[in-house]
Amino acid sequence: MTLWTIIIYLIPLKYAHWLHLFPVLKEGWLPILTTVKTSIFSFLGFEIAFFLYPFLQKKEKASMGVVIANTLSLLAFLMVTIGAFIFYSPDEITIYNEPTIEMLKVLEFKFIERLEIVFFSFYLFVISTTVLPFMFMTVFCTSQLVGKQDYSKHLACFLLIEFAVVVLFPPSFDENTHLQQVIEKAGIILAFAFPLCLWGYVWVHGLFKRRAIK
Amino acid sequence: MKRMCLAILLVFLIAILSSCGRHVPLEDLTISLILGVDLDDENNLIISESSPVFNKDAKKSVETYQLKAKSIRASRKYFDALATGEVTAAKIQILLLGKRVLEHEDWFSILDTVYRNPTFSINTRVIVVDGPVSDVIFYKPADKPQLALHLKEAIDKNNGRSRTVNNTLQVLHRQMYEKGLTPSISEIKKEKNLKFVGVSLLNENGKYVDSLSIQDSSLLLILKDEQKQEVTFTIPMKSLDDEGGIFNKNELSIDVNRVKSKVKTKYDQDKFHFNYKIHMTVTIVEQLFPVGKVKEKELEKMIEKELNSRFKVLIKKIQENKIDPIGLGLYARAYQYEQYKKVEEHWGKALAESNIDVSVDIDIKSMGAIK
Amino acid sequence: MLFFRRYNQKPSSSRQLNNSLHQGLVSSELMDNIAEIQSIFCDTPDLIVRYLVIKQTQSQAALIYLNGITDSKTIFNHVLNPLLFEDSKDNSEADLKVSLGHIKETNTWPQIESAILNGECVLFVDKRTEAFIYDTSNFPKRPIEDTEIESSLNGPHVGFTETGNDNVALIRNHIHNRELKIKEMIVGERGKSKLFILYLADVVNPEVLKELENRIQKIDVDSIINAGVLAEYIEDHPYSPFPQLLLTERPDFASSEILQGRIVTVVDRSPNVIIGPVTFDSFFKTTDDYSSRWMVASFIRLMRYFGFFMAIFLPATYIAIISFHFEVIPLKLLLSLGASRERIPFPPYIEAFIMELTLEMLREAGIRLPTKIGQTVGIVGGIVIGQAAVDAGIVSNIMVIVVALTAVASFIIPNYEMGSAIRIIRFPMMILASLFGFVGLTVGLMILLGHFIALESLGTPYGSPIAPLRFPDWKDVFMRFPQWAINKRPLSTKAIQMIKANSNRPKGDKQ
Repeated sequence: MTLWTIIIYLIPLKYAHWLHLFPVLKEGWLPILTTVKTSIFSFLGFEIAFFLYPFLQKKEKASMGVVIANTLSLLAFLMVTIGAFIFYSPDEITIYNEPTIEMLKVLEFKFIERLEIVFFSFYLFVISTTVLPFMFMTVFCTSQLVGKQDYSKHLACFLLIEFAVVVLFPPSFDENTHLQQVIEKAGIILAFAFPLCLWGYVWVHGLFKRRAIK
Repeated sequence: MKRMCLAILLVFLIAILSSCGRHVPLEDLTISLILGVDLDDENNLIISESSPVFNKDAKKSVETYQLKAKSIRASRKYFDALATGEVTAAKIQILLLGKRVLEHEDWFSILDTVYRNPTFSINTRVIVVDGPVSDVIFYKPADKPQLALHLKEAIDKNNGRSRTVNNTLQVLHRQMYEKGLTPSISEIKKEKNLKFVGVSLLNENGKYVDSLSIQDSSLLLILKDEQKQEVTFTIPMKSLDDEGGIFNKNELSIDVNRVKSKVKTKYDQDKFHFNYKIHMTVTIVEQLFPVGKVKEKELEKMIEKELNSRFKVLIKKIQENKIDPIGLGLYARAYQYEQYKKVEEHWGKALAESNIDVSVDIDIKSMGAIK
Repeated sequence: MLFFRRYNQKPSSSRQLNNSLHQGLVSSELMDNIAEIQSIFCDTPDLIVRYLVIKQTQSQAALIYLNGITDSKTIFNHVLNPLLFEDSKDNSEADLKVSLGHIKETNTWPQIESAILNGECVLFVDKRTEAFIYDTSNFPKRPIEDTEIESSLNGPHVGFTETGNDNVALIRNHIHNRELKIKEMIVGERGKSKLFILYLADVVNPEVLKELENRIQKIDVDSIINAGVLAEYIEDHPYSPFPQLLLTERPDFASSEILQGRIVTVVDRSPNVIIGPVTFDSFFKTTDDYSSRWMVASFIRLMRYFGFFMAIFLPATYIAIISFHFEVIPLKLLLSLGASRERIPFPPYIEAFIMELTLEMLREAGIRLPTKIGQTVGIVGGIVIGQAAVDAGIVSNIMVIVVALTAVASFIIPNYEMGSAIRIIRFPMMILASLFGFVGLTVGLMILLGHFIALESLGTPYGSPIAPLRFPDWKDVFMRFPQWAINKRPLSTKAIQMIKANSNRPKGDKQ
């Protein structure tokens, strides 16, 4: 479904300057490694598999699915990133807030101009596939905590709260970014540190249990 | 019943929401198609705007206003005071820049709103006007379509035939900020008619330094490797002994079918060396001198010589002005990053000192349908 | 108070049928029986009671039938004639000489009553406690004719009629197989309608069949007048604009769907049969797709899907562009659009609503009127109103083009029900577009898709090859692959036997 958005990113490439890619690794590896932290957030989401695992029908395919999904998104990100690198000169790319979005402004066809306007409204559709799973998991988990199967009431509450928050404290661009950073950290902890702790707990627990049996 | 209540509530909420939307139908807008930026004799900023009039009762199909304003955005409220509908910038096709503006450094900041405000189209064509902008924007020829349409088609066509660069706002932005490249914008002049006169070259600060003729613009495009499908040169065969006479008997026109250019970048003896190898496959489309006077091989040599000398003149011009409209800085950065990093801030100067060789290799594919 | 009192003779809210009378058995006295019959069928002028003396046994008898729904020739030749004139030499008491195939005996009144109402004739014989029922029914019916709504270019020109038995026969004509099972059910308390459920016993999924039967059994109404009524009772989501059961009047289409592993319900007295479970893509298929060459068929099918989206979104897109996003129109079109919109006093959504509603009214008017007047309405509506409205400056000519395109696009959908669904969905989309522009359109599309994914038809997913992604089924969705490539039944039918063809392709001489 989101495939066509990537295809759209292929169109501005006719204005591309491949020379911008050279030299590769001009400043060494360090700046690349420092950005890993920001890009890792885009790959989060597989931790949902932890929660959905008990409901899966073919459990052995779960890890496979996670790997495939993340590889696909990796390819998509790579394409868009490289596209932006060759479209903008390295000196100007830092000026834009959202270079990947600006990039689409050049799109123009014989029958439609300013394609970005159409694109962004339909992007709502694409972005909803990111939001909806998170929303679903939130509601699903809270209803599981309370011990109810039906989560429609939780959903209604959740949406109302969200609506109220947005109306009462409209978030600015900066606040949004800040919030994103917080969630990024939380996500990293949840996805990487939390399973380790759990594993440790299970290990320790097993150790004690075995001792108790002895 | 519950569903009904929900539905009514939903419709009600939506109706409230709708008040946030900007909602002006097409016909109630004054859609600017041309935006002009110029300076008057006392160096006051003059903004002008031209938009189509849809009403059939109106005698003129275009309304054009010109006024003094502090900035482009500030000018909008004055335009609103003048025009019928709400003035909107979303469809601006042409941005006219007076040459007087370009003669000052740092003029680029005046265009800030164009990039910052997302309603502006980034595909607006940028054209430099040699002379006052008002001459052009108020020009209403009887035998042409609306000025905006005419200019847009004309610049696209000229770019398609590799006679002038096609500068959209996006390209201009890139050229202004890229350190290894200086901007080049196509230029028009209003004499009796409106015509394209070539390309204006700016330096790294955006200040106007020189202009190129239409013929030289083609060469520039070839050097930039941005030529489109058809490049035509008409070359006098000076080495032929006889004078051309009234009918320019020694002229030869070639159609360049394919251009392959290779740039080799070297850094040697504290200098950059750029070695251009341009291979052209050409077709002869016009030959005014008699057949059999020159052999094909000689002809190739003569064309090569002529083009080589033209490239040399162009490069000399570029180096004298310490600019780099070709974008050789990109090559330098890509292949000689260490050295380029040192001179990045003054690339024009570094290029002026560097060594640029161009060697053209011509291959005549066909002599045309007749002998 | 008076106002209320006038209506205090309320219609009873619980449905009570006058069934419980006449529970007794047939008496041995002929005259008692006749009196009983006449008390059941009072005010029934078409009831005929013919007294006669049976020649064979010399006993008094009476033949009772309803005139009009019985075949009088059959009664004369095969019932009355033998009874009155034939004298059997061997004196077997048991049988009365009647040259008919279908004879029943009964002694209960309800059965007699329903037999008479079904067009059978009943013979009472004096001194005998059973009545003889002869099947002579001949309801007024229409001959089998070409289909009217779902016409076809090179398919068979046979349509279902109003007679259930004929319809079953038409399907049997396509499938000569003993696995084609027919289940008969009766629905409706007053107008008992016969339903026939047809399916291939070794193909169809028993759970789906069970589900369908259960739903039909739960129906408790006076009468099922038409197949559409039944469909509305048994469909999964009555609040959805999309039809979830397919009504068709083509026997070939119905049979091909049976062969796919689906279930066909024939409703007596209705010229349509119900096909279920169906998927969304079934509504975009015609039998012509299979009888024309596969490239042509695929092209036409793609065009139908394109038309589907166009019919839903084109007017909405127009509204969104004109009122919010004029930037996306190329310059030249913008100039001509602006010039044509300039005189229009209404905002674009009112303009669009005027034209769309006019079109819908014209369409409805054209359907209900006799063909000749219908054409006139089309001309008046299309040419006169369209042209005059533009001249008068009420709508722009671009709007007229948009409306016309929308109409053409919605006509391309082969199924009438789906076409109507599109017509309805269009209006909410237009409202959304006039409120939020493209964002509204996107939200509309999302709601539509979400709804589409959630839909089910007889418990199977409605959007099957698309929404639960099933790539093997895609051979026959947007493209129709060559026949030999489609050798399996669609997964969406949950058929228990998937293979329907051998994938070998005979290649003429080369084999």
